[in-house]
Amino acid sequence: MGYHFELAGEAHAVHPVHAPGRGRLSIEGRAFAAELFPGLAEGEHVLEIDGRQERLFIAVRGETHFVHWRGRVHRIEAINALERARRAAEPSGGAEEMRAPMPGTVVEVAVSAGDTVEVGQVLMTIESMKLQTAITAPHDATVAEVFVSAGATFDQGDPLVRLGSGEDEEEEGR
Amino acid sequence: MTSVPGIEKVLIANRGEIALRVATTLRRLGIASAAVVHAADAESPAAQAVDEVCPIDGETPVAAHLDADRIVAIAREIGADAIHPGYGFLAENAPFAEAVEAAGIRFIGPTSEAIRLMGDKIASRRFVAKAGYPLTPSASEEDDPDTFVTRAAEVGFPLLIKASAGGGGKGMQIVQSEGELPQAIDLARSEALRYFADDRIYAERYVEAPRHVEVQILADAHGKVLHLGERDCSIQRRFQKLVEETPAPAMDDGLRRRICEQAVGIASAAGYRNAGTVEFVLAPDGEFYFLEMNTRLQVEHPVTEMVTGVDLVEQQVRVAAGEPLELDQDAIRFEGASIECRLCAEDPDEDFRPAVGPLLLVRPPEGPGVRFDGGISQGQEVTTAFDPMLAKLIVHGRDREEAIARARKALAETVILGCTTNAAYLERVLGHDDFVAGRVETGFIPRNEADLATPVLTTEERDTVLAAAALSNRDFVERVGAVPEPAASIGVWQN
Repeated sequence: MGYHFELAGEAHAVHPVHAPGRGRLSIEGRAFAAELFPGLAEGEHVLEIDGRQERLFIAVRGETHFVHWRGRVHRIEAINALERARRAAEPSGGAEEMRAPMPGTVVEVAVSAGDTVEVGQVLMTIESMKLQTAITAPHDATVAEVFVSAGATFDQGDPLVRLGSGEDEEEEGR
Repeated sequence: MTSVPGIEKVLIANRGEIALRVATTLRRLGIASAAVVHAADAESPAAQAVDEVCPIDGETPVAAHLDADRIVAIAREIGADAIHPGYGFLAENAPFAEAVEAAGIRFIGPTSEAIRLMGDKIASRRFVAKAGYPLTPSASEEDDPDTFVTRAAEVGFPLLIKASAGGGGKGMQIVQSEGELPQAIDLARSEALRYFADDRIYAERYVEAPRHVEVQILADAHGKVLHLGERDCSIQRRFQKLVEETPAPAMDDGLRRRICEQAVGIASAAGYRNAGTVEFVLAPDGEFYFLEMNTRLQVEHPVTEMVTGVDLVEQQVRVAAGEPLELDQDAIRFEGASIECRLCAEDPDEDFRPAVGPLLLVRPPEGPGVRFDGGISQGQEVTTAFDPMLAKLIVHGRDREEAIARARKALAETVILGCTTNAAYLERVLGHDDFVAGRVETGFIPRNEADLATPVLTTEERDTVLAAAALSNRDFVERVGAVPEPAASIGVWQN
């Protein structure tokens, strides 16, 4: 079974290689001789790859891998084959859904379902980490549905408002 | 035994790194320490560091820390002689300082009158203007709420809408044109009400390409007012400081002296007592204007401590106890350069969006001239409940060049895993040509957005990181582990 590791939004094929002396794993088809050794400090590791030695710090939680290397932290998600199939099958719609950019709470909702809004118009004010942000309409539209009310808390990616284009709304109405 | 007569026990009314910072000095002075602690911080280093933990509760952790009545009651219950408010929360709340004084407890900060006068942005600007110091044009809503929008527009664009009772960039909106004004006013008012329980706002002219320069003041109850030099805090995002340093780069000694003397003049005129900071806007032409006064210890106070060797918290406690300042202006020495970087849980590539997550691994940097003021601990969960600042990295060097080099190295060696931080971003800021050359102004971050973006990994770098992740994935390793690889790598890492 193949493995995929997602880094910066891109999935990469990483496979174990069963060829002693010719490598341990392959990344996007290229084989590497690579070994990971624990270091002395907590989370510290030494990666030997292609004859180089790299000191890095690693923490793993579930399928999420955090790698600190040369002053930067990389977040890598292991995706198994099943999850990949599920993602591929997911419809790509929902472009009109305004989702929470970060976890927080709703301060104020400025619109309700059926309202027509203009580009830039404030739909709601949310607050995260003591900072208020206005969620504004990305284009002229009709508000199809408001998913949250003032005081509600939400997580990153939760839907806040669904917008329909003006025409869609008219069609639905008739 | 306490080394400050009259102060045996201090209640710290704050959390995070500053609560720990204050506790550290109290311990050194032999003063018993107590802190109000919300359940969310029960395991925090600050809670571990104090002698006594006083639980507080509230609808939110922030609300708990703003419950002035409860905090004063706790101070009485535990027999505290004084309260240290830290920064933020109740630090610049005059009614709180007054309630503390009324309870016969020393407030480690200015008098409630001084907070009322200088801690309030509108009142302080009036006072400073009257005392004859220059200000940027502004309009206050209070003067005549009905004409505020018109008067704000007359200030000229771009302008800033600010909370009168505010600070730390909270409740601040930048307005480019008249059309944006009503919405910005509404947002600023609502933020002002939420963070400072005070919805008064004012408009102020926004000086283009300004520098933010401030002066550390120390004053005792006997009329002595000193300055401990200036700090440049121009590197900001969302009107919040990210990098602070002293001495201010690319500033001639004449200007430096004039700014510091003006700060002392303003603090003296206000009859100010304890530690405080006078903030100025420095225009590219060398003109500077009074911005506001922070009537408390600042987040960035450590850079001043690094170059002067003065423990500002100790001085605060001594002044609050009524001791005269032993320091003299001429005796204060400024050695080398110091830079502070605010390590925050945020994603600089996503418009500094606050980040959350578990702190799976925390490894503070070490080395000569490196100080790390952190209030975080490994295993803790970073949530949206508090400010995103996790810790402060402060470095000292013989000169600015050495300070920059040390800070960059320390940032690269700071390991925080599990929650996105700005550590690598800060390293790029400090390495930027403009920063190195001392070409700083408050627009530095947006202006250099492209240069400061996270660089794309090369294929070799990408493969290194992916290999590390794969080889630390248990499932993957089990499969790889079935492959014998004798002698290929035994002991290689020991050399």
